[in-house]
Amino acid sequence: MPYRTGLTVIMVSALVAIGCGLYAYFVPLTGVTGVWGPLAAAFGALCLLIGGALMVKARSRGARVILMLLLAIGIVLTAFAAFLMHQWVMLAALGVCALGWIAALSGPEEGAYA
Amino acid sequence: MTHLLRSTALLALLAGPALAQQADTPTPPAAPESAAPETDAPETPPPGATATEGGETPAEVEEPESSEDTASQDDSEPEPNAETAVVEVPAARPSSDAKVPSPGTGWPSFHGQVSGAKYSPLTQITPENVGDMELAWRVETGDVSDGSGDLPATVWSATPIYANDMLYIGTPFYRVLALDPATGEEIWSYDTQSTLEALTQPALKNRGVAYWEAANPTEGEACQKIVYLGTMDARLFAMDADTGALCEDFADGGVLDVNQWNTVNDRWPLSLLQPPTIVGDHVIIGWAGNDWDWAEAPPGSVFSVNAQTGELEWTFDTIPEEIREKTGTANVWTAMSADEERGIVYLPVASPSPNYWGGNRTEDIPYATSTTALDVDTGEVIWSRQWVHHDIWDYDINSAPTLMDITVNGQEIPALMQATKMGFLFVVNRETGEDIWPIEERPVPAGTIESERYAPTQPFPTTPAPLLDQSKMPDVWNIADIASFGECSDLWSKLIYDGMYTAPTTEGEGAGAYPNSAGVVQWGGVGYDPENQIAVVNLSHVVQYIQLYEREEYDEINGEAGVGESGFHPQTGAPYGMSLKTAMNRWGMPCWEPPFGEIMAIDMTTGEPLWRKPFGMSQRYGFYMPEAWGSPTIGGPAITAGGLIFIGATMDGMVRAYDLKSGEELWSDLTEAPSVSNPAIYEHDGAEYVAFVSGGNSILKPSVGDMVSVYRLPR
Repeated sequence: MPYRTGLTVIMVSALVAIGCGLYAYFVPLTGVTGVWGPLAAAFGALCLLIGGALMVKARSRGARVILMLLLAIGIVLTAFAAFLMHQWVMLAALGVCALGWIAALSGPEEGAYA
Repeated sequence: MTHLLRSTALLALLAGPALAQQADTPTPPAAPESAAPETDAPETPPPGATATEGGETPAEVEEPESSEDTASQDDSEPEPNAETAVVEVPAARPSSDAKVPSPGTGWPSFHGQVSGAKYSPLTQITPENVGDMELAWRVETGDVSDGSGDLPATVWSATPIYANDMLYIGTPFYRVLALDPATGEEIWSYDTQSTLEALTQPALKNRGVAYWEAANPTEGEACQKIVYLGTMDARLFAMDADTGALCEDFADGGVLDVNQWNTVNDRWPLSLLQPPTIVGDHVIIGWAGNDWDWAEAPPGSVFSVNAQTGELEWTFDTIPEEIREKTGTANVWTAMSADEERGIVYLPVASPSPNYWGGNRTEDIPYATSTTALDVDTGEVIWSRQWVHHDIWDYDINSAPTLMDITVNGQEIPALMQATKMGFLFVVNRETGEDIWPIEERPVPAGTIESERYAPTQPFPTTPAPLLDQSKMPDVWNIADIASFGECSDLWSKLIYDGMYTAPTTEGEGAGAYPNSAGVVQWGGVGYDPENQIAVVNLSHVVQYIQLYEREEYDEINGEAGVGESGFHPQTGAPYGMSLKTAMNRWGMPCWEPPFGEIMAIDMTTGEPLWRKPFGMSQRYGFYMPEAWGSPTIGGPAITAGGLIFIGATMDGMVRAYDLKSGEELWSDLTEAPSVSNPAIYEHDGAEYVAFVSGGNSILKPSVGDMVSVYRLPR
């Protein structure tokens, strides 16, 4: 259960981060309006969302390990971008995403995909 | 190095004042046919007449003896030289019939006062309560362009004027807005319908309006208070400050065509981007042009016209008549300052054309790259100090001198501080131009271009100390070097640099330009608190490099026209084209070590720094760099008697308040683009307001803005 909960947390927080990135890009006076930094961060969060979804479908242990590694890299880089842009809500969302990733470390229950 | 050329902006950082100030050259339009200037002003003495003979020697005009004395003291410890400042003083003159409103609680001129102090005596906002300051109102004028559409980009550096119980602002679409100072509500506006073409600049630029009022107004008559706005195509509009209606008695129905006096090398109009300087009844007009692309240019004449009639009173020519046909500019494109009591106006004079080669102007041009003091009624020279001899670095004097009364060794001295692009703060007696602290002539290296003439020495102030070390380039920034696989260190090894006056060259990758052509201090200039005798200045550290190309080679690589972003300029008419590039790696990271910008305060009784710290955050693609790295800055401070410094100026688009005494940052807010003008501080209906204009400047980053943000304490 923690595994699926973790994946859910990853995807929901990634959605929030995408929203934050788009907000920062489009809304005036965010400090990063109209520049590609927040779009890049939103794209990073989109990758996390897709990665979380793929994890749900991943059957083999090898695929899950690779995806977990990619998710970790994605979370760190996107969070670093949010930090450099002073987008604190986005950074918080990515912090939650990291918690979801930790929960997902537990792996699926035995025979979950049998 | 093509990757460097391609790298668009980070700081396009650094295109240079010239990129901001001049630059990009579409085909310049032919100037209108113009009549010879009509003037009954007294003839100014021939500019070269008082210069040192011989061409090779520094050309200081009416150089005081004490300067010569100090020039030989190369190795001496800098000591306050109060004696040199105590000289025969011209008698103070009565004020003229009219006046520019005194500083008081308003902000009636570009720098608050025509003295250039940027000082407000208001005390309502203090270090203790500034943290509570909140937005009173915010207005977006709509006059903005990022250059992606039909219009050129806008560069808006206007400081609002508070006078006549209104806030007046000029826009880069050459409109004037009169706003309610408490709410931002529009009271009136006037559209000059000026052309929105970038005739002399790469962008539509505006630094605001000027204000005049009659000392003894005629009751019931219009235009006893006038707002002036200049345009890119050299027209000066005069509007009634109450209604915005044109003043019919001023020039031709309220519009003065300054281009009528553009009669030599008139390949472009005299763009009026800086508001004129008002001293008494005199409207003193400088102009901006485009001297990167042409060897021959309009000569940098300054005009004084009557405030009410627009009639020409006097013309001051900076270029000796005998060489006026083959060079040009040495113009005054930035704000001037004035000592109204003494009747002196101080001109910060730019470099002659072309900027980076001077083989066409080997004669002395004593007023070029100088501070020149004129009698405001006649235009006659009182004194002049040349800060760069035979300028081939585009080290224009780019800010109004700051006038200050200072106490040195127990003596009160009427002083003038001239900040420069080179990072020097020259301090002289403003009545005589003599040193207050020694200014030394020191040998500088010569270059290798045969047709060039190199000045053997240049002036170096001893106190205050230079704002940065110009004897060597900053070290390569390891982060940028590693990120670019050694590109930065490779560039450093190919640059020729023997101190700040290394001459432009065809060799290697060119000559290092540090300080760069955009300037350590820019047109925001130095602020001054007269109560505590503290000067405040913000500065940039930027490395550029200049390369000359023989004509044939230049024409092969770049053809006829300059390309502003890449920093190529043909210097047409000279045997060399040139390029000016910022030392960045392939990712657009600066190759030199931070900090990139700082702010500091100086005790003017000793010339020693009180505090100094990195200022603002650099930003690229939205990513903020650490505060310890600072930001290049454009724009300057305003100071209050409450003990605060207000300033925008940084890449991050923040506006900030600092404690004057300690330098501690006490308040900040985000605006839509870098606030590249000085703030205005005023009192209205008992409340103290601080106004910032956020217009942006492509030198810092591409973001542009049209926002006026005004703050006050909660009611």
